Amino acid sequence: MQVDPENMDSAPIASLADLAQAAFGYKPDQTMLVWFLREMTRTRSILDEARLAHPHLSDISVTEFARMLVNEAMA
Amino acid sequence: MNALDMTMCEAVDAINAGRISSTELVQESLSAIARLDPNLNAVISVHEQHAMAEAARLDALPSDRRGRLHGVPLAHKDMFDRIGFVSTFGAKPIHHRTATTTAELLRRLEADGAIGVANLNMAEFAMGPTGHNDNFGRCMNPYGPDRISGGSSSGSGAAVAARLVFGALGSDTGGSIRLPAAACGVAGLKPTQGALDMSGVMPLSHSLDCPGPLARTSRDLARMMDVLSNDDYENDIATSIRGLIIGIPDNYYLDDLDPDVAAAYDVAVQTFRSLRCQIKTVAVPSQDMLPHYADVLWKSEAAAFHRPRLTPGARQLGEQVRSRLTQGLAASAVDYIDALKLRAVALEQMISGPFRQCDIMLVPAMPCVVPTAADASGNSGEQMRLILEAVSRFTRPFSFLGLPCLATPAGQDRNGMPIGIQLVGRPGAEALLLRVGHQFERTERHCLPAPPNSRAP
Repeated sequence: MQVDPENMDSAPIASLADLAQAAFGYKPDQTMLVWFLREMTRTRSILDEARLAHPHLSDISVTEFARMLVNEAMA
Repeated sequence: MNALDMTMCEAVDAINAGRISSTELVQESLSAIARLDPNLNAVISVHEQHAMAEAARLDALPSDRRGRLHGVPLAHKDMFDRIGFVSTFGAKPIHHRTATTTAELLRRLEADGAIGVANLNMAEFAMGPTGHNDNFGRCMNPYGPDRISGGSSSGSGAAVAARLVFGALGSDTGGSIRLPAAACGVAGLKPTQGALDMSGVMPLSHSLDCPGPLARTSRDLARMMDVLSNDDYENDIATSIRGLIIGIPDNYYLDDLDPDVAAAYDVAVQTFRSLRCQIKTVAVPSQDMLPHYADVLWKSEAAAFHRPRLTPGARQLGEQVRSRLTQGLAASAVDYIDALKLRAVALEQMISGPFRQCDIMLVPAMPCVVPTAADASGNSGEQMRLILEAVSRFTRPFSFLGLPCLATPAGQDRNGMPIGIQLVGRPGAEALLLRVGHQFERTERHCLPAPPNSRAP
């Protein structure tokens, strides 16, 4: 079932809270759950836009930044 | 001149020349703390016995065994461990701990003669750019107690500005050295990511944390950096900066500035012209998303560090802190990894873009004047986010980029509060930043009067 974080009234709250408990170790109340889903959506969409803007992001190593800093500092 | 009005370097010279002893200087510092800190709340704990014992020991040392910071009283953000002493991290008592080791940076400072007289106030677990702290009380700005001191190294900025001590260590993850430096009218250096040792320092975000010094002048910062990094920054600090290219950004960093900040910035540009630097407008790649990418990193890392404390009802964290940390649970591992990779993309764009055209970038420290504590105090998550975004708008991108930044005073606003600028360099450009800061500070128009709440008459 698709869950719309903007329209939580019809969402299966019990199952979402169970999911949250599996993820975080506690069951958040409804306010926190709604806020949390909005935050996850916002974060993912920010990164989705970045992935679209930089299609070669997957080719970059997570250590590349540290390597660049060292090389630039030595230049 | 009052002893505490000297710069750090002047104080070392005075001790070595026999004009004052370390014991006398430490007594002055302790006296100033006792007299002034009730109106500042910059200090969490005072180490009087330790400091006086150290001062006596140092006063007995022959001159050929004296270090570069011989006898000067310093104090540090309460997250740098000192063996046998309690670190509070600005947090609730349940988190206070007696350190079993001494932070390497603290060890280096004191091996070179500095004396730690106090632990300084900070935002709870270093999370907060305003100086608010529900556990120890708000740190007040020496230039205006109703204004924020900036944070999270709030006590470091305030204690140095108020002439309680000659310098302090702080830490910067999104602006936490630069903002208190700017708000309190002192100099603060966020070094290149990874430049200084983090051992014995409480982490907020391993990817973004930068420990660094605050002091009243760039020369003092250089002296501290010499000791902290075992390098040589002070020797060349008076070298001319004639011909240096100062980059003025063409977007983001000059957008929506308060008129007083804009005016101070223009005066700073003219100062660099008068120092025979070249001024060049440089195209800056879009910076808008960098703070959001940085949020994914630091909130995830901070949430992981504080994981056991995040359960509701645990009551181990202030509500604002818990709210921000919980946001860290909202990022997936994939998003976190891509945010790490985006650092390389963003840094490449800066190096191949503006830093191919200029030696140093000049930007304001904040787009706004120093806000009142009342305006900056927001208890709701959304209100807090808006305040944080405004105050730290110009510092967070450079944290994400890992670049070295020097904040230094550039005048005062209509309320008499300091206005700060940032000098930003390529990775490893600390020496150049300190030279530029030194030359800038020597021009009279940027000298601030001592704050009303300070040791100075």
